[in-house]
Amino acid sequence: MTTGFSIKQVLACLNVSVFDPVVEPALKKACQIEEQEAVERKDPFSGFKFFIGMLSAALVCFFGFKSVPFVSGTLLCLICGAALYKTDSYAVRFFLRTYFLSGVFLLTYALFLFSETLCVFVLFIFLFKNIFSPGNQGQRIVLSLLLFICVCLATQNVLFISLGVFSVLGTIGVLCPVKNVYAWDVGAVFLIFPLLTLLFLDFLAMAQGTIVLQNTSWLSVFFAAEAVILLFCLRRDLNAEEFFWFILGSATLMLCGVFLSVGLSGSIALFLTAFFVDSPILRKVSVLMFMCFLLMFILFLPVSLFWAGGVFFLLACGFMALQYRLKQFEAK
Amino acid sequence: MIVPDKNSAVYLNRQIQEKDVRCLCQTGVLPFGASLRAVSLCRSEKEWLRFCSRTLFVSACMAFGLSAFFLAISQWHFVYTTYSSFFLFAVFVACSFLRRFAALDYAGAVVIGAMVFLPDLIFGTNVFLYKQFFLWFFLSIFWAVPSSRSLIRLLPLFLLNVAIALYGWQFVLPSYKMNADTFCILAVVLNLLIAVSWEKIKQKTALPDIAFFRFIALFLSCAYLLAGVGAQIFLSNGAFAFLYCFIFTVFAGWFVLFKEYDRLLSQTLMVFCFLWLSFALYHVAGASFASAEREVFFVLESFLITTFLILKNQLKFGLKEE
Repeated sequence: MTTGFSIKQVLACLNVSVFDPVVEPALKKACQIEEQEAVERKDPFSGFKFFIGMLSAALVCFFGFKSVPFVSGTLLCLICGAALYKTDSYAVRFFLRTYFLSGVFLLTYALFLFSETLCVFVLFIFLFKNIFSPGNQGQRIVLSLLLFICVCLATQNVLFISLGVFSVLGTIGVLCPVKNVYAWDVGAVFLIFPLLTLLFLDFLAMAQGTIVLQNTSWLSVFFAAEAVILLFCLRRDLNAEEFFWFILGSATLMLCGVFLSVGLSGSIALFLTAFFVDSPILRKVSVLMFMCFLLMFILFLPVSLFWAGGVFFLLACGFMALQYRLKQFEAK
Repeated sequence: MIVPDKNSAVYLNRQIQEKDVRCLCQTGVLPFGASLRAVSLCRSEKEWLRFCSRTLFVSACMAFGLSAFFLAISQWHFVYTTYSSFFLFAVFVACSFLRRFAALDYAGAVVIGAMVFLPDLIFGTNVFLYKQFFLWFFLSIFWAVPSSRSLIRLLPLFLLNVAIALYGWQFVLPSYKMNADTFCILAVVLNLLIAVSWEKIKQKTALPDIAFFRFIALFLSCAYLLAGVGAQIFLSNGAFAFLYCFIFTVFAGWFVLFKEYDRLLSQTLMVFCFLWLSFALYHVAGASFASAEREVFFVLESFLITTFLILKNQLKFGLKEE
């Protein structure tokens, strides 16, 4: 995914001198973070698959103790939290972390049942505190997921505005990394999960045989705003013509969301963000979301089976033509 | 002027990735607002073009497939006419002559099946589905033998198992000739016999290997055992008769038949062991804690998931690794 430049060469291109006494402590900090990540990678239970496995086990345990959330959550957090300080074994730590996480889920659920606002506030405080320390990526992801779910459940009447706000916050977090704020993972979660929620709601609507969701046009405004934020971040590097095309693109994105499908415009906005931050994860997610929303859009069209087949055929021809054009461009 | 130390020098000479740009911005090495410029320096446009090209190709193939599906469904009335048999025969002849192309090789195998099912659709013969699948299995052998593609060569094994499963579902079980456990054991024995026979034949003759053959045979054996366990627990509420049978068959298959270490096979067997143990836990939770059956099952299941994840990492299997 890279052009082969070294870090030194990129810094030189951006007029950042590694001999500058102002830059030297920051560079040392970057090396320390890199070393810390290398130490964390030595844990055989680090990695995406084990993280998903841990989340699954914690969720299943949550459903087991859901009837007594406060007592079971407190006990799990206290026992597993205390034991984590005593043990050095990777396997035991993984086991204890899983049930500590389950305890956190149960306590969050208990707090949510008590007071939705308080729960969201507490989660926000914990997340806010966590984004200022470089390690603990897993903690940040879990806290941001919990915050997203709690806010969505608490604001069901204005769900689409919540989803839109999360998308915009996610875009800002991903496009504008700030000094001493480690919030890229949080931004990625806030970018991906609104689209996943939309897809899930679309799928439910299709399964129940109802027409598409109402009041989704607000979301297209937020997705267009994402493109505008991207434009703002690129403002110094665009000429007048590129600026004009970008504004036109944002307006088209909004109209696409209003008249065609909000999910399509959201996934296009995500793809643009993924391109400008060069993120392989966001790229794959955006393409997958786009294909799912396109399929949903065609299936929702009020046409006969024959014409649906025709639409898919035209789409396939369009994709092949685009691919042929891209190959010609690549050859140049 | 500050000279970077050894660690910093090593870090600086490393090839940059997009997460390094993030780290440099977050630590303050890069000023605010320079992240997109830095990313543009390390982004490979060629890689993006290749990704987009591959994605468009896959999307086009899926769209063509969906188009064919919807068009076929919309013109389904054509299938009920005798002209459809002539059409299918013409397609089959074309596939036979042009089977060097992968798409037509696969299409030919599917068209054979379509021609087997067609008389029932046109004339309403009401023939049992398992008989049609047995016939398809038999005819697919003649199509699979000259083919060089593994998926085509594996097709008869799949069709045979589908036919056996349908035979059990439509004939054996409703007529009470035998119960589900016995039927599944016999199906497992058949699959293992096929796998062992194939290994022996391959050693003694010059037949080319079929990729994933023994994996698929063992996979299907485990699937039948799992189906038998599920039927015993959910339908007949039986005891743990399957416990010993499952353990014996899985480990026998593992150690005795397949002495070479096969990572895919061992991971698949772990998945089946996990699923079978989940069934067993459900049985235990239901038998011992009638009022809190679901909650106890969830807690035990979470222990099982965590244990399997730890074992997956820690356990060294006693098989020879190449």
